[in-house]
Amino acid sequence: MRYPLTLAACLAAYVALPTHAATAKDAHGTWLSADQAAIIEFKECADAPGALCGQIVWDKDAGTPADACGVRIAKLKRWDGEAWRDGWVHDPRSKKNYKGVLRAQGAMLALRAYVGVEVLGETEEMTRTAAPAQPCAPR
Amino acid sequence: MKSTQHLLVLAALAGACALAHAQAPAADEPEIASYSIDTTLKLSSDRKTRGVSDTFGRPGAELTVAFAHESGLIGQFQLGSVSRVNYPESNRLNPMLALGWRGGDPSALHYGVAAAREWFPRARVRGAPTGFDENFEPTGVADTSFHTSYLVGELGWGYLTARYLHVVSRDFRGANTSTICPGYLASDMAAALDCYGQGMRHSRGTQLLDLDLAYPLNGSTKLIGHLGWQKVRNFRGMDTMDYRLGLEHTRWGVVFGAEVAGAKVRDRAPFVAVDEGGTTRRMDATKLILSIAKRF
Repeated sequence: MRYPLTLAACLAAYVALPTHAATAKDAHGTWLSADQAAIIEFKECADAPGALCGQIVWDKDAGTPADACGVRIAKLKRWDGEAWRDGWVHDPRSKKNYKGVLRAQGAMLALRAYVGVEVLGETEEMTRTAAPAQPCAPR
Repeated sequence: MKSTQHLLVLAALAGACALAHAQAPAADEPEIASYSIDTTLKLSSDRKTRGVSDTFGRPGAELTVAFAHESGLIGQFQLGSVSRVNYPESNRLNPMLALGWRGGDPSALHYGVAAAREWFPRARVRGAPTGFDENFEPTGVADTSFHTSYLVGELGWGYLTARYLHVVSRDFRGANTSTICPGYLASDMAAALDCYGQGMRHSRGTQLLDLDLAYPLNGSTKLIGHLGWQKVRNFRGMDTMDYRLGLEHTRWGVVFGAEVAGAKVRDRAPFVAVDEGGTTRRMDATKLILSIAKRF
């Protein structure tokens, strides 16, 4: 019984390790979705200065009925010093909108969509990538 | 048992009231979902609960429908498969319903409470002796079902979650003198007589503690870890410590899982099952389990 408890304590310590402080600009740029099916560009919203918007700029399903090219998937209005908050996240698959929070941690971007409280949600983790060679055609 | 059913009904009513007060969207904002419903179908090479197979070591399936409302109310219905070797006369189904509330911050402290009940329709042990006299004649017999009710408390930090379950039904998955003590008859007569000698006992008050880790290694792969402790009231021989360590990888919208899972048991006898063909298997054996899950 002693060794599993030691293992559990090590796991707890590992997952609780602190991460470096992020800035509002860390989220800017192009990011590859976890399933590698889309690239999303995050930048300041054209229609809401100071807010952060995410838009699909490459979709592997481009030209098919599932094409989500050009779809805005997130709009977050406030940087609280740790994460972008106060906005919405759009799921192109279910066509539903959820509350959202976005955190950048180095080369990873965690976009969490949730209902009500943050714990009732799901996180999409993206990795930083170069801008697509053949971006979506303007809509 | 009735009190648990009342709790489930109250939680359902609370959810219905909360749904009726869903917020309307602002004019310049898209409509934000006030609830979510996720359905997942999972197939696995074995279906274990706390390291002990429910499917006689054979492949199993489970369908899970999870509901979450913006108020924090959560619900889960799961329909899993079980073996008739483990649950005699059952219709091979194991429905489970849980209703509760969850709050907090997923990257820091989060917590929740729930009431849950699982059913094993038609599964029953009939006419099992509850004790023996000096002439080894049964002093009584009992019929036992496997339905179990739990009160659940949950506390987590980041990717780690600790869950405590307290059994409030009369028996924990059918554990009582008439079902547990026969397991010792073939292997240890002294232990069997000691088990029967304490009269008919049930297992209400059994305590379960689960410690779970789901740590993302990257956007599509998670490390899954689990440690669990089971202390069965009145039947120390049923106490276990179980473990699970594996990976889950998402690709093409499907979650592929591979894990090693099993349990360390105090007494092996209650965890050995024999099918009609005479095949004997340890339900607690550590083994590699492969799974595939699809969310709809």
